Amino acid sequence: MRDEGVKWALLLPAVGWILTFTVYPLVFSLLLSFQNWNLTSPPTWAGLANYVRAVQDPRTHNALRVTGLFVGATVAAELLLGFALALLFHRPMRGIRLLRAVVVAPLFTSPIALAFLGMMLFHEEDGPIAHLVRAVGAGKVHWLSDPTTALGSVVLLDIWQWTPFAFLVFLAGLAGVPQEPIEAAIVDGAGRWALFRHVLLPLLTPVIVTALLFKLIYSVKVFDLAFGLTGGGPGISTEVLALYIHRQGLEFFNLGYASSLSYIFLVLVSLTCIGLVLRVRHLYERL
Amino acid sequence: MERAALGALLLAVLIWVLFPLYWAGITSLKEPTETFRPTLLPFVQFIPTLANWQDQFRLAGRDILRDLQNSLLVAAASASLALLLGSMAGYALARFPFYVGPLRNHDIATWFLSQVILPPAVVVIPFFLFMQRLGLLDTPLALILAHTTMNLPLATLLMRDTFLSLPVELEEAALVDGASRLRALVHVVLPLAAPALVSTGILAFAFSWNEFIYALTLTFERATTIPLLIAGAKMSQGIQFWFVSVRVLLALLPPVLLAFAVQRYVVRGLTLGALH
Amino acid sequence: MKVVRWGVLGMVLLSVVGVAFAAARPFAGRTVTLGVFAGGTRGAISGPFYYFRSAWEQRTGAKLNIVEIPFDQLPTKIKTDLITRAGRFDGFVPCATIYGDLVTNNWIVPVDPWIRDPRFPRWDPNDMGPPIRQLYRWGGRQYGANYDADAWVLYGRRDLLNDPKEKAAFRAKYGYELRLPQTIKELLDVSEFFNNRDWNGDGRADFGIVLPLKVSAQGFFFYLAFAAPYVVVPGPTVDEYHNVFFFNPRTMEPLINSPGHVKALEDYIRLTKNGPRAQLGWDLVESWDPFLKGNAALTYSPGDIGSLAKNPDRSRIKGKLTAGPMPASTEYYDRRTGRWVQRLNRVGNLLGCSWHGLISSLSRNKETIYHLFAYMAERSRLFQITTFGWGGVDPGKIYDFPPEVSNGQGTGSIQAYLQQGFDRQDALDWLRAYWQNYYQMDAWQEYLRIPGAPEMINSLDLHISQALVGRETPKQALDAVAREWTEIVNKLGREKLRRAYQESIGYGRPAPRYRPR
Repeated sequence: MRDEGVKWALLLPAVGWILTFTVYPLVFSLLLSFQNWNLTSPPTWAGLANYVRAVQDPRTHNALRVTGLFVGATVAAELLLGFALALLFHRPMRGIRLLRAVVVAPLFTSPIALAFLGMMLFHEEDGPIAHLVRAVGAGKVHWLSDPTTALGSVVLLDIWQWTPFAFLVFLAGLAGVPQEPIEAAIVDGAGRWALFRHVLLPLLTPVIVTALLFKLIYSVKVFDLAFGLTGGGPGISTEVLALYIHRQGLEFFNLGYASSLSYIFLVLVSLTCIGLVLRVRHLYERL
Repeated sequence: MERAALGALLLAVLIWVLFPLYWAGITSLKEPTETFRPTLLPFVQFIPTLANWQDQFRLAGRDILRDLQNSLLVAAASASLALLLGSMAGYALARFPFYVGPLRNHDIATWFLSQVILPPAVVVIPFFLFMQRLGLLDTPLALILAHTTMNLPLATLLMRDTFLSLPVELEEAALVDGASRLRALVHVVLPLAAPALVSTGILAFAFSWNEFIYALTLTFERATTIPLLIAGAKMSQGIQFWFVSVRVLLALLPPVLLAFAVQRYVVRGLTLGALH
Repeated sequence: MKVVRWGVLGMVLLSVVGVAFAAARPFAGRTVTLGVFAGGTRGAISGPFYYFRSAWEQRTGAKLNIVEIPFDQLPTKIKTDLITRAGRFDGFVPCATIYGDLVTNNWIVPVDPWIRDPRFPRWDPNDMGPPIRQLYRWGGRQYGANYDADAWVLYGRRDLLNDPKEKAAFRAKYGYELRLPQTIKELLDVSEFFNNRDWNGDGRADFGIVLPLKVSAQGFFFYLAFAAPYVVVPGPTVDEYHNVFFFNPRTMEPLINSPGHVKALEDYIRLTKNGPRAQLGWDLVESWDPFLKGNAALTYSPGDIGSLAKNPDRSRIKGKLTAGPMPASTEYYDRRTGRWVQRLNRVGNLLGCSWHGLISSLSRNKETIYHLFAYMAERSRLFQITTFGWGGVDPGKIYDFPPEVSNGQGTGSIQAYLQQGFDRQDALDWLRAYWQNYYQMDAWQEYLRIPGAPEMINSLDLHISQALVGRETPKQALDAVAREWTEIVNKLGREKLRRAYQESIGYGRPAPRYRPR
């Protein structure tokens, strides 16, 4: 019976904390999204006007598109690259420990620092990459001055930073794969592709789903890289949703409109992630 | 043949990972006019100089020290708070059955997980107004509250996972011997969980150290942290890369060095205990 | 008796000394905090405050706390301080774009009551060039003490433009004499002529013109400087059709998609093609560096180039620099008649931020912070700051200009500049360019500083960039800007903004220095 009190005393502070600092702001934000407020004059009721504006605002459409492209490109590239590297390096060899030690560095690099570093690396006339491209005789690459390539540059920075995540996850996943089904399949004379497709891949599915979920969550939040590297440009070609919300809310102080954008963002992210969360839920049922 | 190819690939991956950091390093050691020259080897291709470091500390030393101090304070305090609350909740979820309506322990754990989905950009505006009303804007406390919120799900889930993996028999033995729950927790469980506690704390510290959007919004002068020192490099004459490199390295090194210490824990940390 | 007499005398003496001492250190014990544009202790705008801090503290007994804020966070940080009534800053040195917000919300206080007060250092508002003086005022009140006078001028390589081989080749190709461009047509030709060929012999193709066109930086200024003569129609008064660039001051209808602007943007896009494509992602330093390192023939920019050129760490063009005011257009669009007028139109600009200190209405040390601004505005000190070069203060006061560059009107001397390491001819050309911009133009582009200006500028900045990368046509881009500006006007209140705009540009009053042609 004493335990009954103890267990709530242990759990509730954390729950209460999250309710105070997450749920309360979210409720506040929802109310704000139906108002117009710029902090200097009293708020006025706006009804659905902010949402109507959001649906019609071409910059919102653009921000959604850019964010979608960024998320799609980074998640796909990092998972594929990480998986390929994990398959290649999943074997006893010299240097593997060094590799594992070194690849954690990008994961812990401050993204805003990386973005400023990126400005140097991608300098189109004189950056190290430009020098390299010139040395191999190729033409100029418009890393930051072409709308499409500029988004590619932001994606590349994210790939540099996050491929190690997928790599390490898959390396751990491969290490945990039971050997019996693989050996059995080899005895049955399965080819390499069949082995991969019908034995290894199904065994790794939970790991893949987990990696996908978490990378999706981290990609959607992108702000620092675009803010620092391109400022959202050229034009609005790299203006991700978080950046646009920040501008509307905390640069122009259109708090109501920014809140309605926040809510649209939240709903979209939740819808995307909820299915995956339900799929990894069983991992938390362990024991 | 295959080994050689793999060795080459290994080398390529190492260069890919390390080159950007190396470039920041050498740029910080070059004269401004040398900044973008394609020279890579100090002493061989260019004469290194500490002038940028000296100038940065001479010109902006006060800002750098203040931001370092704030970053240390905010990261240490928020990591400790998240660790304390998270361990408590994690222990409760690992050891006691909860029935909240239809919800069981793993549902509560999933609720903590779902908090991670929330993009900071969504809550940063109400958070700003909240802190304004409390009079906490531009104080380290505002950032500590924000970063603790950000790291609490991580700490809860990782510590829950840790306690689940510890044999429950040891605690039961202590309880049979007449120790209180609290004594059993402090003297039996926590020593066993110490490595996980340290690793989780380091992860939370690093995430707080690197956090930018809350810092940009909630602080402006006294409580600014290292990521703002970087953003602050956009000066009146644009970005002076020789100085930016110094600042970039100051921001990078502490969390990266810490990360080496907990590299075995990284996968678990970034997947919030879903994978080991 | 004697003792008493001496005692009285002593006390009188002591109190005189005490009063004198107090007068000499009138603000002892006070601490003021200044929010200022970040340039470091030895950089633009913030640098001079560090340089004179201890001298000022000695003189007043007060303490000065300097807070540096980067460019893209400056309006937000200052407005946040005021909106939340944190009152962290006693004074700040913001970009003039947020003047409207500051004045209409009563966030700053005028300095008129103190200008003639003998307790403060003396400075004269009339030392500033006439159009720039307007930027320190609003609705008949003076808010700032003299400091920076920003404007964009054209820079070129004197050696290159005078090279006989280049001159001959240019004449053969274009049929007229090569010189620092004085018209937009010349600017387009000369930048094209020098672009994409290796004229300095370093083995790599050089550039005709370099410009910083990155978004969320200062790129929008560069379009504004270029477009001014296409749009601003000179006239004796500031009215609906004359001396306006951004809005029709009677209706608050945006002019930004009027025919003058559309033509200007079309030509501007042509101009940017006479330089590296990379410049679409460049901020100021990245665009200055190729020019200073000798890889670009032309650029236009604020005054920093003039002073950086003398700096051996950064420049290889000392002694090779020339400068002039922004080129004139050969035609402009007259909205009153709906026709293009074929005539040379020389329009000066006041672009940049014209940094100067403003006093927060939340400050409890208003007189102390005013003392600081007045102290910095004293003639000898402000002139010294201008000659530093690194101080970020562009020449604009009558005493900055030596007589030889100003038809004998300036009261300055070139010696002070030479002592700071300027090349003589570089400095003369640079100063003449500024003098002409402030004193010799047909008209001046007004400055957008009404409430909502930062949001309007962001809209302009993005759509200009969209047009530069070909995602929108010039017409589409400017139509979109006009639409967004109209929304902002409606949102903030058309009547309020119209009043603010009229006050900020001196509507209905005589245009500064209009000379009938």
